[in-house]
Amino acid sequence: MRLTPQRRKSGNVLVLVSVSMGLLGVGLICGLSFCGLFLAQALLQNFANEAALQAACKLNGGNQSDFANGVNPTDRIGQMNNIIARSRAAVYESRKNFDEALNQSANSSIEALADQLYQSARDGAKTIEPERQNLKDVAQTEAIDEVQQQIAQISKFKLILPWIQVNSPRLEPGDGVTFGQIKDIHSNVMQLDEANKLKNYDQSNGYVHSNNRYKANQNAKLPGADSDLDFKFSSLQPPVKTEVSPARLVLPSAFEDVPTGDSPQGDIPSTVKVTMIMDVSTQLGVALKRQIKVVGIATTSGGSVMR
Amino acid sequence: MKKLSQTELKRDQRSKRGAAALAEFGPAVIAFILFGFFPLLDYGVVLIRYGIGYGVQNALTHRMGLAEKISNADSMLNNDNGWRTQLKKCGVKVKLTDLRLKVVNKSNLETQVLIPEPSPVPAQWQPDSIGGPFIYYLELQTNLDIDPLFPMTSPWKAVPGLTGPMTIAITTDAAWENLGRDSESLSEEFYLNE
Repeated sequence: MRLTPQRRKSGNVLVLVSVSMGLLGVGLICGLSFCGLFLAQALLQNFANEAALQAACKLNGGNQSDFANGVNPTDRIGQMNNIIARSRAAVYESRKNFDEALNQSANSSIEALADQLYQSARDGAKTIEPERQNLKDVAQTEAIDEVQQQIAQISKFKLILPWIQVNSPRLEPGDGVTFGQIKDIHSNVMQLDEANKLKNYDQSNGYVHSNNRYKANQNAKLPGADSDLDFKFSSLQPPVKTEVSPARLVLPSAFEDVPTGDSPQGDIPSTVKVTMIMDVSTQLGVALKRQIKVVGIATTSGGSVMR
Repeated sequence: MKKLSQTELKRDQRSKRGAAALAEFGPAVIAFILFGFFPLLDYGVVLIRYGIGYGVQNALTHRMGLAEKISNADSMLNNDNGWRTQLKKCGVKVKLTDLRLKVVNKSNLETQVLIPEPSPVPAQWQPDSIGGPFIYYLELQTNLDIDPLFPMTSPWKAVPGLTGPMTIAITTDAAWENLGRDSESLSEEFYLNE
């Protein structure tokens, strides 16, 4: 059929409008897809941060109501560090006393008493190390359980739009939850006072940091016959001026693996890293499937003031 | 025979002169592209670049809020030029940055103060003050020069967003996370009060 000139003119405009509208539509869908991706990534980051913070609170307590008064009601890592330091001092002191009793005392009952105290201190020190390992296991298990609970709460999350589908977030297989500590943070244990005979020995062996607190990630062995005992200090933000440092999110650059390793013999971690992934797919045009990966890192609350 | 009206008569005459209509259509399209499409595209690109600028700055502010010390946050802003380079590649130049610590009273949100960084936090606004508790935010204000898609040089004053860059002030904030004290320093001050 032959078209009149008038119809041909209208057809020109129709094609122009159709192409313009088509381009506008494609642009809008692309824009909405990008917005959807940003939204999904922001949501996933919030999930990871929340899970990491809750898990970190499990490691050493998270009730902040008493922190300003220097009290962390849980503080199990801090207390373990303090117990280790005091047990170490008790072994050293009782050993000294026993040696003095052997050399000076003619009274065998004093010698026996000194020996009893010494053996008791050693037994205590031997008991602490397995308990420390047990505490590490319990703290990590509770933290992982907390992350699993958080994941379960958000497992129903899905974002399904005609142009983009976002599946439920989940932990990255293998590295979903890892434990570590904050760089350059030593233990919460203050060096014992002047009356303690270990002061010079500890300083000469480099066990104490310049801030007068025991260095973390070291086995502060005692000299002589007691060198078979282990005294391991874990990293924990110390209380300063009667204030406990609250749990918080941290940057990936501040996180480090526990130098003594993940084995039970390693130190108790104070920081949790949660890695989450989420599948994003689109069927628009070409079928694409990608993963969004985010990392949330949080450190636990600090040690309490020793009372 | 049907009598044609004046308008119909004109249209009929124009349709018979197809070449003339085509000659009008071309300049009209060019005029539309020059004075309608390109300006709209320029402003649209400025809007998209504004969104990118806001997103990058917001991400930076949140990273700064997670820093260990306030000096680390300041260093991220001034010494780490990655975010400036990233923005420059997108046609956004960072002209001016202003970092402040916003302290808000938790029980009365209207009671707040802005402290320019780096400067000490007055005792009454510190976490251990009896006037607290407070919430601390890092607030970053920047002036961004956002280029249009087709920047032009002209002897006249540039039209922002059309022939020259549009200057936009953006303010973003993020909660300051580390409320502890620095056990390493002699003064044992708060990390936010170095």
